Amino acid sequence: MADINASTFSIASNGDLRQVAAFVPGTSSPHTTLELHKWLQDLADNAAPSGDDNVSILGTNPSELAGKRNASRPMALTLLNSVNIDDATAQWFQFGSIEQAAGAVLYTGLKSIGTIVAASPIYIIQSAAKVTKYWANGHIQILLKAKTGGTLIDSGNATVYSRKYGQTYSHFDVNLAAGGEQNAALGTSLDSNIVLSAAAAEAIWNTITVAAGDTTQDLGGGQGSKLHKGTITLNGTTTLADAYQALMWACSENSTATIASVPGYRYRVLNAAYAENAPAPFGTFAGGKWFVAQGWWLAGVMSADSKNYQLTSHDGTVETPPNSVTVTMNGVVSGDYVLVARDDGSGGILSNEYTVSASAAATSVTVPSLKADTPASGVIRINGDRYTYTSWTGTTVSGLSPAIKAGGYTAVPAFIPLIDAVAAGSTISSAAMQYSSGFTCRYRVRNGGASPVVPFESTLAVTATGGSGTAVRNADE
Amino acid sequence: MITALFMLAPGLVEVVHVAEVGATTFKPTVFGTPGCAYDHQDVATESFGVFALTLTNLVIGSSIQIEDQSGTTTFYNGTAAGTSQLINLDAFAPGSSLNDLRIKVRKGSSAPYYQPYETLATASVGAQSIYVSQIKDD
Repeated sequence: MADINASTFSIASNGDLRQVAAFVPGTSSPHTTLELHKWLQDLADNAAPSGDDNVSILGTNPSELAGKRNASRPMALTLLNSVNIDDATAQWFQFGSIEQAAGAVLYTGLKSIGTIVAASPIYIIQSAAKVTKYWANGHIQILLKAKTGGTLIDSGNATVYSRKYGQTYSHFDVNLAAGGEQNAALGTSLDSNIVLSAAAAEAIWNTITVAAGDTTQDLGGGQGSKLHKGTITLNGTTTLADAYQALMWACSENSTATIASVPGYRYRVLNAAYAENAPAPFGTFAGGKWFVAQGWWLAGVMSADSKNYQLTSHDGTVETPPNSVTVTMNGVVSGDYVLVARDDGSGGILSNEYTVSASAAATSVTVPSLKADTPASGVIRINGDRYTYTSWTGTTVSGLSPAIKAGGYTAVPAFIPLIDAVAAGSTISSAAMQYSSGFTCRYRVRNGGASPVVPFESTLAVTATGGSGTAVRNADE
Repeated sequence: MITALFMLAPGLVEVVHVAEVGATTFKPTVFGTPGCAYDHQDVATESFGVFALTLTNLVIGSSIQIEDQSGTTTFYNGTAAGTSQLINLDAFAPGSSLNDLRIKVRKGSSAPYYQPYETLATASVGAQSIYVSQIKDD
């Protein structure tokens, strides 16, 4: 900073302190409020006014500081009596605040800090509108008008944003009422998930419908039906990666989009009760997966992307798409009997997985605490008896065949194997099931018929991608 | 206003104030006789005597401005060369607004800087000392 050159400003006899030429962002050198005070006081002890600066010892004291002069910290300057600046002249100053008109007008210092991409553009929202820029790209250190006519503008609040398409976004709320200099912490970085041009992203945005409104939906991942506060509807041919970019464009500084009745450039969150995700207001995209921001329901997802996202419902429940997996046994031949069931951890099959009761001739059975990762169809063993079933829902297993035998069952052990059948070829698989968490299966392959083998038994792991095992068929000759 | 002192007898002096009528832009004839002294002030802006004002505790280099309280007339404008400075000012007739002084002391052009100091005083024939309490502005 440099001392003020007297030719930069004029001071009329009525106290109007004005710029001689307009401040040019990035070119003009701003002055600190301390420098303004220093200049005014320099004039104030002159024997008489000189030039266009009508301040001297003949007049009243033009300024005072709150505290001692200190060039290392922001100075709160008060312009006294009739001395005043206007909005244009205020652009010349920084690092402190300027109060005038007996406190009715206040310009407060505003400084952005933090790690941002070089020359990240910064904009300010005050009273729900963008403040006309008078600063260059990159970090800012300016004065922003906080009070006029004795009334705080927007209660003294302002929000500093940096949202350049292609970068992660950032914003920070400040209150300017106290004067001095307020800091706004920002952080931006290049977003490697952004590969589309802004125009391309905008074009995709125009195919997406984003609407606020309650909707209760079940994603099918086992979390049940959940309330959501808005819906993002894709057109069925848009990848999630592209949709993410389109929504980032919609939230960018230059966006003309409107989201939930809010201009996209200041859209932050669907519901004020939710935690914001400042870097990406619609959620973060990482590792090929979109972690959609809270409250949004996502529709129109391509099947190829069916597992590449997760939602968070209104109540904060993380919702995952269904993950259907199967268990496959390889290395078998037609006629081999294959039994794959949960391992009991003691070298055997978990044959008492459930305890059930069933009435004779029934074609369905209630299985208390039936696991979510039960095959959609297959076999249930009740007290060792084999029944096939065609479906299940909740705790009811239906479509039993044969029907429950005469006499029924009362509190007998039961289990549901993943595979319990004769192979018809070189492999045999279970029906699909919804993966919940990993577990171990024990499998047995036997054939005492046309191709007799030594009974084979081993274990396999079921993971998020399913499970598989291979039989070792040693001839039993 | 005309003021006359009459020595009526040794040890006995009579002070007489005589109001003038009409324009008083001229001085009447001054006369004197043994036992009689005469003084005269014909306008309010005319000095009545000397007000010897001493400013003490000054910061050397401070600018000094002494003016009437309406800010229309400057009586003194200068720079403090020492920590104490005698300034002879005019005193005016009692009641004249010109006796109501505003004293400004400032030092903002070079370090060390001081906050503007300001005080009021009333001029009268005689002497007065004012302690200037400047506060640093740095």
